[in-house]
Amino acid sequence: MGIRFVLLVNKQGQTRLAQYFEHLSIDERRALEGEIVRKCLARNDQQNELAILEFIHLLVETMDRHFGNVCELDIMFHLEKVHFMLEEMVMNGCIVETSKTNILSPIQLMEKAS
Amino acid sequence: MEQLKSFGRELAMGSQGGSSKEFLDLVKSIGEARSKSEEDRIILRELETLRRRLSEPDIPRRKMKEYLLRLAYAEMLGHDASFGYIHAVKMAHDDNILLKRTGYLTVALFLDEGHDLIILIVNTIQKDLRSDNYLVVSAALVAVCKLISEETIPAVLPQVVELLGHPKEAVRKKAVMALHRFYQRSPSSVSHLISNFRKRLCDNDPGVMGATLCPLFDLILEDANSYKDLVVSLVGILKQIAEKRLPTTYDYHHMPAPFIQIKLLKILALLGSGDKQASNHMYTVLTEIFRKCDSSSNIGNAIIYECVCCVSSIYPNSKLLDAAIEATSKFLKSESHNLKYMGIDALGRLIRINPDIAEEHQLAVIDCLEDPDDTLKWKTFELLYKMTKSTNVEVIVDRMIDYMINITDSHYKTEIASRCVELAEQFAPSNQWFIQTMNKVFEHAGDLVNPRVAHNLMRLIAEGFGEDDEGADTQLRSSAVDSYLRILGEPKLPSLFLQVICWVLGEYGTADGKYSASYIISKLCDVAEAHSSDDTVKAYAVSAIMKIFAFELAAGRKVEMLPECQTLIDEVSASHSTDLQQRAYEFQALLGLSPQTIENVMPPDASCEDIEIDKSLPFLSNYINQAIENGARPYISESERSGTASTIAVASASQYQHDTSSVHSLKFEAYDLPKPRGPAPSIQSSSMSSLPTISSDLVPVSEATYTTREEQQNPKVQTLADQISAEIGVRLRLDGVQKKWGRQTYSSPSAPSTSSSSSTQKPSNGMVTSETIRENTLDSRKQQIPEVSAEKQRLAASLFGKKAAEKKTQAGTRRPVKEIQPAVATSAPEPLKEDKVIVPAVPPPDLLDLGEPSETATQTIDPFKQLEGLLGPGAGSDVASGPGPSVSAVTTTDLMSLATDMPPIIDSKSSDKGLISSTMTKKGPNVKDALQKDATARQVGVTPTSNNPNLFKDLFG
Repeated sequence: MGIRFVLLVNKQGQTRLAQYFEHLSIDERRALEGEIVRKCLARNDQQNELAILEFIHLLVETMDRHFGNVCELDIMFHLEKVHFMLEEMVMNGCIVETSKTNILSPIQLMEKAS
Repeated sequence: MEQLKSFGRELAMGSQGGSSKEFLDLVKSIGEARSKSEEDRIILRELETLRRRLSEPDIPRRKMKEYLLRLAYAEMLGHDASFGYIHAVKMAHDDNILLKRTGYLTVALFLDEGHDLIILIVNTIQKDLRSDNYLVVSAALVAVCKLISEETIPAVLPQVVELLGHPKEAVRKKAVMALHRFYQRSPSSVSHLISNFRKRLCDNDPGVMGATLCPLFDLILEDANSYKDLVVSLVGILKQIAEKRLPTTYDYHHMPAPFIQIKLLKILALLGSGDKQASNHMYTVLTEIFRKCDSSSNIGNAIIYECVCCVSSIYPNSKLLDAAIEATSKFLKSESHNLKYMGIDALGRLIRINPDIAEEHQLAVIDCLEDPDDTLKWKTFELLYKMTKSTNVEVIVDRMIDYMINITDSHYKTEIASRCVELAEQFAPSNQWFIQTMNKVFEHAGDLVNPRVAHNLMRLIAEGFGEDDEGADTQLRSSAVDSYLRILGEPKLPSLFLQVICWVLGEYGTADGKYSASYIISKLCDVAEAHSSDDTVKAYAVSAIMKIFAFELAAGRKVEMLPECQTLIDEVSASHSTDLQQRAYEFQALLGLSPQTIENVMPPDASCEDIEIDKSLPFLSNYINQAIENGARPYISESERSGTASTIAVASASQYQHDTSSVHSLKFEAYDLPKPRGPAPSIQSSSMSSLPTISSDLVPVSEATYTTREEQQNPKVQTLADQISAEIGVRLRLDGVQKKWGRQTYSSPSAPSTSSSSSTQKPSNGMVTSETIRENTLDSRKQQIPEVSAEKQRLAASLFGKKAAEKKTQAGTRRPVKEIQPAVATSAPEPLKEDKVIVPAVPPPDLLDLGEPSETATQTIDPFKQLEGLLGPGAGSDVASGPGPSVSAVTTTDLMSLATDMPPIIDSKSSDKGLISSTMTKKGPNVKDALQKDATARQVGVTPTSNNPNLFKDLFG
């Protein structure tokens, strides 16, 4: 599995969004988020770190397009929307969609519908 | 101003999202929390509120959505919100798509696939998969990927397969991913549907195609051979993407669909690995990508890096390798840490194909080692670890130890300590160095090292390095004793290290006569006193003292009992630890024995002698004869007994099966057919025969069951004790009691150690040979880099080969090639032949070899012909499978064709004719060198334990 979890953390190290692609108990998640740096570094051999970095950037750009210059509060107030974006982009720990239009269109449609 | 802006934004968000003031306040207070405990207090209060709110009747649906998100916050920040899970499940039923998807989202955030509530959601998913609204279907498919477990796959599988043909591409894509999930969960559940992935690869929509690469990657990782036919299509897709034929929405920073490109490159790397034909299809497109990629953006570099990985994985192509090397050197020369990091990683991949490459970048590597960025440093150590050999091991391990001392993270410390040990064991240039290195490792990371490393060290000191050189062994031990006595003065030594020290002092402290017995004893007493809470160290110390006493007494010398020693023994004999007590009493008993007996009990320097075990236990024969004379029944051997099966044993066997089945509530596997069981009848019969006075109907069935069950649990441990107890009719409860005489525990201490050392001997020596060959070719190509500090130059020289500079001058004054050529032919053929027979699939590793045939064609013909002569008639019988000659022929033609492919490269090299011919002359000496080093490595004896990487995996848990 390529991507095992996505965490958004602010500069103070506080979690602002967490989506896991494999199950971990709350305790495990707490421990993991505490030791995140090491876990990040314990990558497997076939990971392209630079691509993952750019993927994170793509996520930010996508949020930017939706919220317009996204900030921490945007994510906090619209937690579910950021989750939906992520659900469109990553499935089963794999990157499945990288076109911002395709990522955002279902979210916009849902907003319209309700 | 900033604050005002964000405040305005808050207001806008609060009002527009329809969120309540409560939610607004919660988010604000979490955002403003200064510490984790403050955040915890906020969440706990919030959970109380939510618990109250959720128990109210008739909660509006929008309100409920907000409550669920607040619960999600609580869980995200590490608190249990399980009381609200059921509401998330309910929300997934909602008709409104936004609420439904929020419901699914929170269910996925809260529950794992094994949770009891999941069964309630499966029904909803089934219904939603049939919906007309594609957004609903999409939401359900996302939920399928997260919530469906192996057991529930059949409930949704048919619908998911149907959705693969859905008109909406977003649905097809998610259906592919759902199937991928099923494959991850249980490959057999979708084994009949694999063809769908191939079909979806040709989907009109690039998104669906891109998603399909994910399951294909997994499938190809498992079994590349079944997907070789896809190479052409995948290359075609990659080519189209590189030519920007995809919609521009997939562009990212002006690169066309970079993430799909990377995935494709990963797949091609798998398919082309060791497959020349498949790789051939890829060369053009890879060259194109190298050419087109924009190396000024991160994503462009990510693709280039993936290309380098691909090139280093597939069948090598010289032009592509050159492009990869060029890209790597660009990474290494970059200012960016990220790119340097990628460069170090890429270099690690490329040196597997051609070790010479490291040479050109030595200074860049050293720069990375001195970089303040820890990640980069760590990665560089990883690279150095891969390129360690006997010439640079001292520099590398010294650097590693320095690094190890300076870091605090115990995880990295353990890791790097284990690597130091591994490299030291593998490449140690001298015994002294090895001991010193191990001392440093133990001193600074002793508590993190696996105990087996300590035992290896003890064994090494005890066994010495060669039987023929007793003097060297003695010297080694003396130097170990010296260093340990010195180190003992330091405070806070790790327990494991102290154990080694005590043991070595006990065995060899007085061996060379340099130190008096009482001096060593007093040192050992100090150790025991200073670590009075560590029973293991104390035990080692007491035993060591006992040994010193024994050696002295056996040699007829008197030893005075030091007061501190007496105190120690008195204290230990009253210890809570029975082990310590026993050692103290043994010690006291030993003092009262005669010198001859003591020498028999504690022979000096005999830790390596095999203890002979006479399994017939002759010392018991008197006792047995006496017992037989007194009317006991003689022992019946196992083979004699096995024929006599008793009916009761069979009855009890079925009883046993009944027992086990009643333990589980459900039995999932079919019942086994009753099998005839060997040992059970035997013990039954013996116990029956041993109780002749009790008639069979009086034997309680339950008891019979008990013995057979016992037997069943430990089928192999048919123990003597059991036999005896059965013989005399005494029954002991033996559950959980360690079987002292059991076969397993009996042989385990000695067997694994010897077998491991003997089994690893061969590969390690093989490794050493190849290492030395590699290192010599490496030496020959040192490049001169102007204007670098002498310090760095020196470091580089020691890391990448000291002789590099000399070699060059040697090459200048070399003897004429013709003189050397015959020597090559006579000394080289044997290993060369082996090379070609052993690695038919793997390409020639050294690119320099490629250049040779065309370069000095007239000269090389001779050795090859000679080679063929050697291989010809003899090889047919020699190499049983017979691929030897043919393969070598194939590779030689390959060499020729490849060589003609790349004239410009050869030209650049041939401008320095001395260089080429110097590598030619290397061939002969290389092999000799290698053999010699191999021999010394054998002598040194440090090599055995370590070449198998798995060995070290279990060493450092």
